[in-house]
Amino acid sequence: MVGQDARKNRHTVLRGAGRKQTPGTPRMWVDRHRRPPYEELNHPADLLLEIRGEDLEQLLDNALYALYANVVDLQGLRGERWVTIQATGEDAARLLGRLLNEALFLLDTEGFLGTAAKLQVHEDEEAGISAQAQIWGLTLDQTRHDLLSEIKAATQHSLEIRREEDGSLVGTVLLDT
Amino acid sequence: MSKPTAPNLIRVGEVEWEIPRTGSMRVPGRVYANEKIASTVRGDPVLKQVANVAHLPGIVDHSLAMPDIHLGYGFPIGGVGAFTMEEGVISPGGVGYDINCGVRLIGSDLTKADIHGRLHGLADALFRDVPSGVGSHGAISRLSDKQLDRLLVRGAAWVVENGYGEALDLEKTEEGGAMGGADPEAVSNRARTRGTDQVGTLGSGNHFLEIQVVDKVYHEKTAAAYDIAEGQIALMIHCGSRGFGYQICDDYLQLMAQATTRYGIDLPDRQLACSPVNSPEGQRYLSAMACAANYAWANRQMIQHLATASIMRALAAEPRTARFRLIYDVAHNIAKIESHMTDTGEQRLCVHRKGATRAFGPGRREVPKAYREVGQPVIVPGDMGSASFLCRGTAKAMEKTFGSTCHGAGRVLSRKGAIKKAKGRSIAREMAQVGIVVRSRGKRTLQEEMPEAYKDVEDVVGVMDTAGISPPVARLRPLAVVKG
Repeated sequence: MVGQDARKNRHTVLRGAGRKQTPGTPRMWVDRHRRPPYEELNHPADLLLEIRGEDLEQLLDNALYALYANVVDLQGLRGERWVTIQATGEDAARLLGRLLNEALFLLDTEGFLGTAAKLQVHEDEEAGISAQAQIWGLTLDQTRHDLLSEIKAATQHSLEIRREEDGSLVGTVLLDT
Repeated sequence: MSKPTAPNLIRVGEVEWEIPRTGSMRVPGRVYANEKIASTVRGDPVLKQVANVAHLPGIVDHSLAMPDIHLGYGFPIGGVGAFTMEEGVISPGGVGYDINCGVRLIGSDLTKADIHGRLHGLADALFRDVPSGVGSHGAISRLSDKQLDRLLVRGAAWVVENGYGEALDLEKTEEGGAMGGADPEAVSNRARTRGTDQVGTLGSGNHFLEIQVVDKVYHEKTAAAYDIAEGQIALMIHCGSRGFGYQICDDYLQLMAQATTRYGIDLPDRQLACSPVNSPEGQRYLSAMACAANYAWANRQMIQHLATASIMRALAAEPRTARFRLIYDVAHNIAKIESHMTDTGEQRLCVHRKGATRAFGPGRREVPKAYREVGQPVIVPGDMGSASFLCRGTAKAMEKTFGSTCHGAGRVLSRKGAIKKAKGRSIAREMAQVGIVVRSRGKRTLQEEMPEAYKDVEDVVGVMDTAGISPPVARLRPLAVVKG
């Protein structure tokens, strides 16, 4: 389980497809559908996802991608504005669940869909692990976007982050649909 | 992640199976199933969930599971647990994220002849006029704080008071369309923000709006009491409390996780996070849950109005010719404080029904006067390609299951499995080939919700009929299905 190894200073990570970009403009998740950084596991009723990342920032970034990619077909979508969300957890796994629920709250109340993200993770002995995600995105439009699934919440069922032998992280989260 | 060991399942009746009490279980588990269903759940982790519920303090009699059982969050879907007020607990996981997800059945005097050749037009009208799918907005523009407060306490009555229904609808809704004890102060600002713009929205996934035809009546006397007859067109609505309810569940799961520790409750599964029913946390959750339940009844009342108005416009007909009337509206994700006879006499119990429907028998004062002689209507939707059932509650249900029964067909395929099975197929075309018109917003909704993803609802209803809990009164076939 991730714990001691996640103890890092504040840092910023920008994730994307590796193309040259204008400073300040995020790399989009444009090519992620070719090699999704997550896998859907079998669950009788809901969406059980296994998400990978080299470190916690990347895993959280990939989790946000996985969330949005299961709500709407992201291919061809271009972001228009930044929105910032943050969450705190007693541990990395609960942080993962809460961050996804913050994104879902924004989706539900403002129709905000993410197309890229910049993550910062900070660990504090007293406050736990917190993450701030700057998400580049746009407003969902039923008439223009291909809807996929409605996600009610990220649950605590199967909520876990573990470290692989190669040092990378694997997280699982069940999204109630 | 280790897989829990599935407990033993021992047959104790024609359709009753027992999970023996072992270890720290306070009561045995009782699963209602036929041989076919039992063979699919034997060895499944869901039985462990049934057994886990049996560990909770104050549980009475059995941890129950209906034949549409499948894996849930803490409690299984299809699970029922009743707890004493003095020692028992309340658990948000025993209600679910979609508080008061439920079903409403609306009868009419329309027949297939009245809508012959018009089905596509009616489906298009409903698809246009009833908001559905991700990102949909309610028919009532953003509620003010005052309006929302009133709606959360008055439930369906608020919608009727604002011109979207009849007072008679409230008589034919469980709890009269509003649970007592709702306190808007117990609801977070986040939940309120999610709730202001979603009244009158269907949602997505397994939620639906269907035009159906009553194609078989099993019990004439009860059907007559319910004012439903063979050949009539009906509308069925399946949805819940939308983002408002989901947020309340999420808020209180976090609170209950802390409360569990504070009250020293030992849990086999942290998803059963709970607190004593009579604790401040427990009472606060019940107040918030009641708000969400009332929101869901308001939602279904509004959708009824939108849907019936849409159909009348599409048919260019007068409302009195259709005579749309609410048959009943049931909740299937809820916790209620109810009186039941137990081994120690009549007791007030906190009954959790998660993916289970109330099925009160004849004579109960909670059943509408018009139905009191025959028992409460129970609406059991099937998958979109087969049938739904209108059943009735019985005295046996009161004796055996705290007046509870199944809620639907129950999934057998994961969403991933359903999408895989549907590859290369057009589910819409397959439905059309059997005369069912479908409309859906989500690109993969129809695949995820294909009929093969579900148990045979006739099996599920049959089990509860054999058990004497909720025999069928009428069967309804879908003609048009609208999904988000």
